[in-house]
Amino acid sequence: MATVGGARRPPPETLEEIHMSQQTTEVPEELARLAQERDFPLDLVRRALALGFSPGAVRAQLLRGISPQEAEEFLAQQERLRAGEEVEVPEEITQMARKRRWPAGLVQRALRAGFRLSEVRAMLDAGLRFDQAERLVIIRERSQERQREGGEGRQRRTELPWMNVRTEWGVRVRPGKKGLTLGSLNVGTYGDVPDYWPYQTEMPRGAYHNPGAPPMGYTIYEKAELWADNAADLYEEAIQRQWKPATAIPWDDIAALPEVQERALAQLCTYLCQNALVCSDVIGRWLKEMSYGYHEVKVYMATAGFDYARHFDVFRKRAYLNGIGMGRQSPGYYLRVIKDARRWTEAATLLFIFNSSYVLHLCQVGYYAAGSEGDALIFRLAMQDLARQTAYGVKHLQYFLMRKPENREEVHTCLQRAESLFAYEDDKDPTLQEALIVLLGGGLGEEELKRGWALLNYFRRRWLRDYLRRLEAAGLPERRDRLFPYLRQWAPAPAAAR
Amino acid sequence: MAIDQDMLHQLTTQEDLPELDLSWLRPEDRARVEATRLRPGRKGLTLDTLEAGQDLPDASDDYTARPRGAERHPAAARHHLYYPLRHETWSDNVRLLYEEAVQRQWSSATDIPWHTLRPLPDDVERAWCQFATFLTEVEFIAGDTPGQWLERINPEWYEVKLFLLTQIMDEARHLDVFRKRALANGGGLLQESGGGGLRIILECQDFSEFSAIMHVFAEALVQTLFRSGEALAYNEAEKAIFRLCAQDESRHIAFGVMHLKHILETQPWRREEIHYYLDKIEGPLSLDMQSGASANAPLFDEAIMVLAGGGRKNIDKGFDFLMNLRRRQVLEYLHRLEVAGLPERRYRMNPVLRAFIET
Repeated sequence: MATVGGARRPPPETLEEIHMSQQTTEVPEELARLAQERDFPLDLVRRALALGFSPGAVRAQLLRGISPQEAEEFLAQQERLRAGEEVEVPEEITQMARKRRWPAGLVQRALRAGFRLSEVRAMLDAGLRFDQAERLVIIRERSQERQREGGEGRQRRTELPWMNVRTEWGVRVRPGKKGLTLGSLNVGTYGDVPDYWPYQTEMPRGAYHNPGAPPMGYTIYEKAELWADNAADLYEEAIQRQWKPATAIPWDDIAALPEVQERALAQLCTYLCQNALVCSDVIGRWLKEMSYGYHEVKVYMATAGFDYARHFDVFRKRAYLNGIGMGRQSPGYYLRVIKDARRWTEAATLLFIFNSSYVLHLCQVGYYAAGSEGDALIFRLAMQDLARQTAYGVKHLQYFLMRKPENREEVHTCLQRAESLFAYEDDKDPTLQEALIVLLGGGLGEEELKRGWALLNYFRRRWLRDYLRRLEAAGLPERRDRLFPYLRQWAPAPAAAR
Repeated sequence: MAIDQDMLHQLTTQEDLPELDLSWLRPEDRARVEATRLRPGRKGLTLDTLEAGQDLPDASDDYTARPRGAERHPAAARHHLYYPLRHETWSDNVRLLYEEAVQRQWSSATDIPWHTLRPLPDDVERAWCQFATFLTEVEFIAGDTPGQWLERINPEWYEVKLFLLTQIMDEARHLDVFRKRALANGGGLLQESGGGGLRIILECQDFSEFSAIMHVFAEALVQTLFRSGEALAYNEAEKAIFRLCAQDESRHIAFGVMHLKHILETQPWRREEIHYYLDKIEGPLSLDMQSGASANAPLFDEAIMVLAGGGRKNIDKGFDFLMNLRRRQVLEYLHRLEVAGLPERRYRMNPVLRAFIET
């Protein structure tokens, strides 16, 4: 190796120095072995090292399969350049460089930086502008400097500014009983979730801000507008409890129900599919609005979106399983209210408290009417996912109302809108309601329909009870008295299920 | 779930049954479905099995939220102006990719052998933390972007929506796992990057633009990096992170490549438009790719060099690794474009990238 007393020595500058250096340069054993294996003259290796190229760079060239002729041409060129001579550039390349408006001297500079003539020609062929070519040359020059510089220079160069930014150095998060969870990362300053996130960039919370980073166009910067204390835990729970519609359901064991009930179930599944698709659209629309200071909420929303995907998947498969397929679409009026939300808290309250409560009750109906273990499992797994969603909805609304009590009436306005449009849709389109009656009653006979109607009312009372309880837990107990009149028909407490 | 029988009797006698319409039960009003029972295959009951033999329309003038195959409701509300043509968002492998994504979910909390993390030399640990900080940022964008397309995709082609939802899930896990790595070994998050190039992904105005830029270009670069992770990993935990993330990225790229192929086959007049999108992304991001001292993201490149070199004193070795990585990234990107049916990109690529593989 070209070293003096263990330190790298400066590269030779004159032809005499180069020749001297070549005589005294030692080739590392490993490199010599590689050259021998490749049938590559050791002399050329020695010349390259004498010019200051690192053993690593030479080794890379050997591995790349450089031929001795190519190496000879290149080294001779480098030796001439080092000795202050210019390399003769073919007229054709000079012309091309002129045509590309490369400044005079850039070709020579490229050659001095270690490019071969063929490489310069390739750069010109590729259409590189002068500034682009110069970038490549600069990179190569820096690389050469690195190979040539002494210990001090190397030390200076390796002082990387980002290595010195402030962190919670030494604070180590250990995996707990549930593994290394997102919530457990919130230690030291990383646990400080600010009330207002001041950065419009993609900076993760706890990183060191780069003042040159561009804004990303989020609109939610206030913790009260999206936060829920349970978001991180719900995220981890959602991941642990993910299930697979294709394989988790014993599809072969789900026998067909009598045709009318099978059709009613398919109708319920059609509604649930439509509902899941619209809800996932809502999440997709809002994700990009949430700034990165509150990543726990963003990643939880990703799991909620994935839940909806699986719900669509499993309910569609169930609808088609026994040869029925999709039923009639719902008019989608009240789902539009969720889509039309203009504030995340509005969307989240409607999505995760009003709608999830409603869909939970539909799943309870499906679970009750299930004719097989497989059907029961489908609805049970969906309910498990929906329970997480209501948990986020309640905790977020609670947080929002505690921080922004002045917005309480606004929340009522949103709920009023959703409740009234739900009533409008329920009244105008009896399809789903009738399907539930048939499913719960077990057929189209008069007694069966009566029984189905009674049971539906039972489940709707349960739904209203749970919906109002959730709002109460979120800090909105007065909703019970302000419920939209149509829904009050189910407001009385239902009988207890056992 | 059982209900008290007395209460049920009381409810049955109290409630008057309303008049029922039951028109939804008339099978003649429905789209015809082959009335055969679906049988799960070796991979369970997959979307491919479900949709085999069903019509897959190429166009739709329905702007409601109607799932494919459902009977239209005459008074249904419109939800959004979706893409009216299947080709605009479709990819022939989308069902397969969705099912694979569902099957291959993993947990950053429990599937990474975090116990194998050991204290590293300070410079290496800091480099890992800088590397992880940057990737956390990248994954934020990658998670936000697919979401904005969901409401523009017609429910007729729900498969694409489902796939994008799996991608959002994947990206959430990626940002989470890199954040965990940064904090799990005593380092922490370091400096935010410049980030300008990534914003182009958020700015897309068309689905195919988004897919070409994000799936085919940006994720392809990340995928090559993850697959080269062996050189950057110092323990089994880091190896597992790279392996699992790369597995997810493969699906996203596969979607993008096949979507691009589909577009080029069904809408060949869009070829030049696609080149424009690639020109757009190759320009700014190629600055990042070119050097260990580029203006946009030197810290990421530098972190890679320190990690690959085994410390900042061996940054030269790391530089060689970085340059080889960049070359591989460009070559793999070109290969994917060839598969998609855009082989001429090799000659039309941003000259900086092209020179990178030719010099």
